[in-house]
Amino acid sequence: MTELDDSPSDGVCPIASPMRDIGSAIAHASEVEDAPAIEIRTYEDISFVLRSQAFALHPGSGHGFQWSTLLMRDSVVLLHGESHFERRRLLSSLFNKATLLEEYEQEYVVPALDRLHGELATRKGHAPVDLVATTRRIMVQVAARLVGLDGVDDSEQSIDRFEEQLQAVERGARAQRFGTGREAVTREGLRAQYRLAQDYFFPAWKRREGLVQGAAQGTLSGSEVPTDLISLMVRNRDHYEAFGEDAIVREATLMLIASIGSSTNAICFAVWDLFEWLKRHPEDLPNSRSPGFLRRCFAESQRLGQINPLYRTAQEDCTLPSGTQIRRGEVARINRPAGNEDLAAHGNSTSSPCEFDPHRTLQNQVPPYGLAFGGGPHTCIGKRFVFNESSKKEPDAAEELGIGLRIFLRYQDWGVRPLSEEPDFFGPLSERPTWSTLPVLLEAL
Amino acid sequence: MNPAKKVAVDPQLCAATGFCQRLAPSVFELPGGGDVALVKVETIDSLELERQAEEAELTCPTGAIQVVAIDNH
Repeated sequence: MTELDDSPSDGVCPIASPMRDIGSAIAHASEVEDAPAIEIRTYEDISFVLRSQAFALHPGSGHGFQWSTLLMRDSVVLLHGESHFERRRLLSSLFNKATLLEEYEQEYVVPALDRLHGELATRKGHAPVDLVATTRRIMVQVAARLVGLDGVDDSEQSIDRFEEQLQAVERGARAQRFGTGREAVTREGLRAQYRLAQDYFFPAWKRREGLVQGAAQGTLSGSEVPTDLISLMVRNRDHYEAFGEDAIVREATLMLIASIGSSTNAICFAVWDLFEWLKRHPEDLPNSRSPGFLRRCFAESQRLGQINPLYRTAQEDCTLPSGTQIRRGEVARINRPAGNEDLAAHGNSTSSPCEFDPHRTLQNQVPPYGLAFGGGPHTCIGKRFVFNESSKKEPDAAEELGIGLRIFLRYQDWGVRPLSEEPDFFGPLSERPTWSTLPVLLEAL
Repeated sequence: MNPAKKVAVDPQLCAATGFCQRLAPSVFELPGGGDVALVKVETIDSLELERQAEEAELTCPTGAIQVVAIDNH
């Protein structure tokens, strides 16, 4: 009997426990010491480190990875080299343009926004709406669809129940932030992860197994198998089984956590930043519903808002372009705000590099979001999910923007106006400010 | 006949991960130490090369590759 076997079994969940040896695993994580870290601040050095195969994410180097790896070991963000390449190759089919635009966006995001519009229109523009809760609710539905969790419907009760467990998992994945409470937070996160697997993941998995089998036998058409993570993992079971029986749960956990919180925060930041900009630059008011202008706003907001450091461990002795030397086993601590300011300082804007300016261009035509999505082979796999990078420099249709941008555009259409004078943030899930609430009026409804 | 497609790499987005070279070695190459992947065959008209190039487009971590049909009209 393990300490996590207190979760009730319903006979559907085929894994006995998320971590049979969790006690010793947690004890081990507590003992990991942070490897010496060298701060990297220039864009050139950062770009070098992010692109180089000589640097890898390494749980043994500490800096929090020993905790997050307990819930997300062998998920795509923590793999390196050949196994990372193979995983990205598999997962990329979830993020192709047709899937994003035709399946997720048209089938889930647009109807969710239409339902929300229907609910809010009855309240008119004078009833405040919390944009954090509202956006998160949409993103929960989209993320559940992306993973393939059929049990999450659009009712408030269903979403709240799912959210309660997911937020415990999210805290566990970021246990490093909780200081002395990190062991308890990790245990709570692992229990919640197991319950998510029981209640949502494995029932959906069994349904997908039947669908995939039916398609293989010709009793169903291939189009009856949804394009989602679970279907993909059922079809590529051998790949995932090589990483352990619960690797499929950890991959799903990562996708859920990565796609809900950060997207919600990014959309709220974009609304806030644009609102503050328009107060000082009313000449841009006519642009405030233009897809091209909103894409620049969203990118600039991302450049300023994504401030969590990134860590990479040197696999061999390296010399960076600046001449900084990093020895094997040492950690490059990537200071993204410094790198983004460096990019902006060499761009076209006369405003401060750490101020919001949607008209700014960056050094050497680097994309306007700078380092917000990381870089190199580990560039955020969800970038296309939230921010579709069209070849057109100035998109003229909402359909070309991506899911996060599309929600942002709809809020602007609804005449979103923040009510607070100061942002309302909370911690400590992230070093980056995270919106707690964002009361707004939707004046054009 | 399958319409020809044009392949391009955006040098501002390319991070030289080498994914494209592995997936479509006849279409892309990344010279040793290079910062940007190069397109060896800009216009492709075989189904196999098209399949490889489109997988590279889809898998490229930075979204730097574009494979688009050539409009002959």
